[in-house]
Amino acid sequence: MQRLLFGDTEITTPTVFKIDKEKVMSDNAGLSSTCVFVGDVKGIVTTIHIEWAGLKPAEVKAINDFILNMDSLYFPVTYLNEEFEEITVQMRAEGPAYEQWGWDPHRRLCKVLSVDLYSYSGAGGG
Amino acid sequence: MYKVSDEAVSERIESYSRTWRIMLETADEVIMGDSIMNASGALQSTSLSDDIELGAVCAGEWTVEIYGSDKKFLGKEYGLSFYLVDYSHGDTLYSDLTPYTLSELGRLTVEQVGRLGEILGAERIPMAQLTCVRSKKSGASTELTLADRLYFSDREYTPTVRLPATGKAIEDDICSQLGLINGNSYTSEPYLFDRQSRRLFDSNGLRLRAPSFDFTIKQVAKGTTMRQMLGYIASMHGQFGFVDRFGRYVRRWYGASVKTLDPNTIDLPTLSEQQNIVTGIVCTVSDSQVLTLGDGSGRVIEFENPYMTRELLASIWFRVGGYAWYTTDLYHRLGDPRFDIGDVVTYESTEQAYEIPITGLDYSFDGGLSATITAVGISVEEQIEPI
Repeated sequence: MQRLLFGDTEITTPTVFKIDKEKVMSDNAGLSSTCVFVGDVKGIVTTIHIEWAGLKPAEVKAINDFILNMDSLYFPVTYLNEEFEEITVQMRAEGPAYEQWGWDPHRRLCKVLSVDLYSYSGAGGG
Repeated sequence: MYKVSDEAVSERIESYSRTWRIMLETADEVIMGDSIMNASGALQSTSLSDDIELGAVCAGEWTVEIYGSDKKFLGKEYGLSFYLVDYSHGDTLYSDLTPYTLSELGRLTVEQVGRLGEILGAERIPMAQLTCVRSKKSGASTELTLADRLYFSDREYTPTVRLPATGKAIEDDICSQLGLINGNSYTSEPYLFDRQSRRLFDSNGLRLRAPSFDFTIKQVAKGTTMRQMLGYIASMHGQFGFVDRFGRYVRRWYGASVKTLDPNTIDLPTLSEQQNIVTGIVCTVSDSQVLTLGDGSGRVIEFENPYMTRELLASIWFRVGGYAWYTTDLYHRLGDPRFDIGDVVTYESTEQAYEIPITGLDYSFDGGLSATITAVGISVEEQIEPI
């Protein structure tokens, strides 16, 4: 991992960074008259599963500012893709989970923060 | 059938997995890419559910769902085109922009310009020139109904040319009133072709002409709509009329097959057991005059036309008499946007080849593209005369 940016904010280095890619098939996908499976591809959904360990409250807040933003569903994420190229993609966050220490006043850390980020890649913008 | 300029685009259209996107253009803006992920289009060459028709003039209609736009659409003119996405293309380079004019680039956002490199061969396949006639907004999504200018042709026709006038002058006048370009060529049209679109010559090697195709309209009956009038002129030429993908009003009839369908791209079609064969033609000129040619042993094309003459009907009969086709419903799983209404495509089963005149073409787009191809005709049940 070279660096991870949410918008222009550099985010703490994660401990888990997993990229899943899935082709989304068109409704026309299926068996043709010759029983050959054919079908168009609508696009590719990229899911990034990220986990951080031992985050300080300020670090959690920096992440929350993006993944829990109620005003904007999408935010730009800059990361190294599976071909090790740095790219910036508009992504949305789903299902953040926080595992806290909390009870020890000297060790107020977020033990694990995990979140899934999604992007739909196609051509063109808005 | 529309011809694409790039061979790579042609090959990709015929491949077994493509990614399509729609571009919707106005004079000052462009909507493209993932903003449009649902659309459907309906085109037809006959208004009858069970027969081909002389003089049918049907409007093409598209429904498009746009995501994330707060613009006003109603009444605006749009050009709708499809393009193929090339995922393997990297960043958009300066060389990727050279196929586009400055005017085209000027309408795009910076993000859109940055993604032009993903358009395979920089080729957009024009589908229609449309006007937004309905717009419904639900949350971030807007559903538009767009139609070509024939949608407005049910208004009464009031000639702005002096009568009597030629069919061409009337057709030009109606097109002008509808905001259409008349794309019909009156210079080449009188030449005759056979049913395989081959030129016909006389014994001296001169091309056979049908000068009687042009005719004079002395008066227009009160209450006649522009659609009816265009239909009369189309049927005088033995054709049907529609607005082509470039927004021109054109007439045509079914010709030779333009393509044999790849069986890997279609589902098994539903075909009638017997052919429909045109064996007669009946034109009602007025309450007291009905012109007839051929007989009633097969399909009889019936239509109304107050301007029809026996000579013109004979010319039309020469073109349509004996025309044969199978009633067909065919799901083109991997739809081809190059097909036009009135094209004839060939389906080859293991036993025989069927030539299918496209009388109905219903596109469905969701990032992929499929189409239902219809050749209307009487159903299998109707083909047996009751005892």
